[in-house]
Amino acid sequence: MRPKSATGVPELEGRRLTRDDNWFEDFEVGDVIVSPRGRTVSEAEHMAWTNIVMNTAQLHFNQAMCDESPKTYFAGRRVVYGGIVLALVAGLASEDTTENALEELSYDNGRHAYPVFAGDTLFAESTVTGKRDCDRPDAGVVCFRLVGKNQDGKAVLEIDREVLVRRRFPKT
Amino acid sequence: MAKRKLRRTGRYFEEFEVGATYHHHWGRTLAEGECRLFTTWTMNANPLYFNEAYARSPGHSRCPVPPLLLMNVVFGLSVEDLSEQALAHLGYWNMRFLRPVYPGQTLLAESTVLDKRPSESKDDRGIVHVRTTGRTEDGEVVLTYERKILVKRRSAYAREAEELRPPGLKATPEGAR
Repeated sequence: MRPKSATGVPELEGRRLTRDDNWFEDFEVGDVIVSPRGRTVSEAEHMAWTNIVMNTAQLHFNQAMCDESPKTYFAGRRVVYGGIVLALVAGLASEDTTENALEELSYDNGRHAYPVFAGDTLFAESTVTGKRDCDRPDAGVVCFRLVGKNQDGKAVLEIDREVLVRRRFPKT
Repeated sequence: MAKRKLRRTGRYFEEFEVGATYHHHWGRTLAEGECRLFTTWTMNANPLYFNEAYARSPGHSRCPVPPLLLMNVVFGLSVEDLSEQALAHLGYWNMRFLRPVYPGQTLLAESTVLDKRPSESKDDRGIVHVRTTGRTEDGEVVLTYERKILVKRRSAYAREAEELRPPGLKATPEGAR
């Protein structure tokens, strides 16, 4: 595989593998990019990923404990581990924002604003908050405010992120 | 004399010491399968994480570990020390991915307590502010982030903290085993 010389767009067997509308040049500060898919969080997967990453906090996987102390634990419901919420929301936003990214650089000012429970459906919106050049000619840094919402439109997650995104035309 | 024992896991608010560093248990080697599964499971559209031929063009030898899997694994290692007695995980600050990590590498994690303060609205909990570092087995730092955690006060949850049963298990009737 080689980058197409004129555009820097990577191809494999003559095929372009990613979309042609999410290069560095395509993002304009102030744009609000509403990602088109929702994603329901299932009971089994949030339990599974909590355990795969060895998160041992029982409020994610011990229902009997939550039943016993509903005042302590979200009215007796097991809350979805936030790291999985972040990964799912970032995933929902990815085809519009980071499909042509070379690196995820940072996250900051992240807040789990409202709890997520199994059965909730997540949605993602990204606001372009900044853009800047970097030391490589083929990419630049795009800053997003990523917001995850539930089916009621309530923000469950808000976080700033910086991503190194490929340019359509490498800087000369 | 032999006795019935329960080793309580997780730190309560009172047990955090500002300035202390906790070296987390276990360590964790990242397997290729879980990297691929995580990236597709979370619908991440960047082929960098699931197409090896594509990943080679920006100079990787293979698909790197998805950054948020890296974060989740480091986070997971930290939970028994930091947030197993938490009521909520509030958020993340200054999370930086410093270099790519590849399947087969082993992660270790540690956290330093930056600050703690009692909750202003509820007297049974407090907020603990920590900085967590993830490094490879060679000691190279690959990830740092801060998070704030809402943690139970031991004084308010003394009964559960002293009980000889895991939370949720009904008390065994007198005389039964």
